[in-house]
Amino acid sequence: MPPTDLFSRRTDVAPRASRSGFAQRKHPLSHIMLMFFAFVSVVPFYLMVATSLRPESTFQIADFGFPSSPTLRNYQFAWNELGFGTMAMNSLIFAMSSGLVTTSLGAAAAFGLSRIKRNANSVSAVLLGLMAVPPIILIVPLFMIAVRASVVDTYYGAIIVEVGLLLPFAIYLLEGFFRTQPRELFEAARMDGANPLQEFTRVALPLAKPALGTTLLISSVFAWNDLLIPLVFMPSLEHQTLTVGLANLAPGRTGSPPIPLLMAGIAISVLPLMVLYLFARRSLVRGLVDGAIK
Amino acid sequence: MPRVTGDLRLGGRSRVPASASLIWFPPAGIVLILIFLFPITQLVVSSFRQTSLLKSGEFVGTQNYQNAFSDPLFQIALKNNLILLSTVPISIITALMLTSFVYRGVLFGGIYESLIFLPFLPSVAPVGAIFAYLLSYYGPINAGLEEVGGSGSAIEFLTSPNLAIWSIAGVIVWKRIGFLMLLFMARLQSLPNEIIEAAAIDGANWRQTFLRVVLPQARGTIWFAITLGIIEVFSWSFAYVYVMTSGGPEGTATYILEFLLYRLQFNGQVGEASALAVVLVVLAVSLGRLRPRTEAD
Repeated sequence: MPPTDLFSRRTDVAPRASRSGFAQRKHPLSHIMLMFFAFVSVVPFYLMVATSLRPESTFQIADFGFPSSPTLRNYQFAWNELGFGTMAMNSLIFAMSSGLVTTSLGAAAAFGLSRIKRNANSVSAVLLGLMAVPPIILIVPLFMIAVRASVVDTYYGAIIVEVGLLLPFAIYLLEGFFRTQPRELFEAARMDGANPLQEFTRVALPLAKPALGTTLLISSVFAWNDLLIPLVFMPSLEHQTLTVGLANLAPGRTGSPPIPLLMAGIAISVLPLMVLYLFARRSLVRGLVDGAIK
Repeated sequence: MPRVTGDLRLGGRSRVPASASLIWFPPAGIVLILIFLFPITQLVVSSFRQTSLLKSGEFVGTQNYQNAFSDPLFQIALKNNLILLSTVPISIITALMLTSFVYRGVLFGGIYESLIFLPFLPSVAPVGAIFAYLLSYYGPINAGLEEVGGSGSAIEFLTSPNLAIWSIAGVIVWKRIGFLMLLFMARLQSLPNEIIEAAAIDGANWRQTFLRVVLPQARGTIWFAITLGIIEVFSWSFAYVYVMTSGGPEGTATYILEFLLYRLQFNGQVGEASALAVVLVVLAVSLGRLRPRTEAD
């Protein structure tokens, strides 16, 4: 199935409120269930935001209302004094670089794979198998390599490992896309004297821009969200990402900050993704779903 | 560029010489070999040896495996992983139910869908930290419970050795339902409306139509969701435990296989850790391939 078909639902499918043939009765039960699950999904984030805006002095556990005099002081303090500013920058660098490298290497490999006719299914199976490998088992052997290459606690080591873990997914996603490109385009390019590299850079890549964007977005989000790799490969205060910082500051740990401050820190990690979702919903969703449904 | 003529069949590239394909693989291939093949080979080797962090020792047969299996922590971790497996059917059935409501068409269906998807976006670390607070003994959820049910109705969500792993399972379900809804919705949206119209004309009610006509069309996607859920339980659940309970309460009550492995590795018990790693990777990869071969949708 061509990837572009999946999310055109708002135009080419009958409007939702009139699923054909079934009279539109009111469905109180459906509404109640959906409302309940929507409520449960949103409440933790609401409490996070409400608590993070509460002045520390007025904070009470059982207070579920929105603060009467909201303040951004907690954010300021978390950003400057608790190191969330540094962590956010680290997360950004780690996520963007991992995403970029993954997408570049993945695009080349996926393009190559899309031209192989035989064994295409077993290649897919291998990629899916690699996705199932628990990253945790790889940690110690990789850590020993990192020690020997003296890249422990640097971006290089962590990013290479992250890229390796993201590549199977990226290749799988992009391969499906390159496979849908009509081969006549490449034949035409070849007749015009293009070499294989030019076929890739001048024909395949420009046509694949949306898919590349989606892959970049998804792999960056995955890297932004990863805990294990940054935890093991760049643990120092100077390099720790938001996920590592939050894991170390979670309630119950020694050194966990007061709850309103912690919630501000959590919000610094969560809100960028929500904003991204608002603006890049289509692309994000397509990337998440395409690989699954093809 | 010349006009494209002839058939636009997808796929076939028979006229491309095979040699042209090979140049594309080295960059990604080297990374994959370094990150997957090399460590896994090393694990298999050291799982049969008396190994310490610094030097690999002599061949000891299956001794490491026996040690790993007889470790009481292994029993706890395996049991907890099996408990977490319950998240797979629970989240899939819930998501299918919600999907059927939205698919049939309710007011604000798209908004509900988007809101329920929100928990999937952030990573486990912040989500775990939020829930470590919400579910703590003196946390807001218990405060609410005590307000309603009087003092003494607080629940030890994360501090009871029996309950803590179920609390983690609850958070996993919470985080996953929206993604599954998205997946199922996308699949159902791609079905032709005619099959539903036909069922309606034949006098089927909505429940029959959804269960007998619509769902079978989505079998492949449901299998994918099952596979992904199983993989998640065995391969990607480390962060939940690490952030929410650090393996506790009582030190080890929420150990899962990944967490046990993490601890063994950093205690320097390399032989036993390698044996466990081999078991875990075989388990995850083989369970992840449950999907029936004949599936074509």
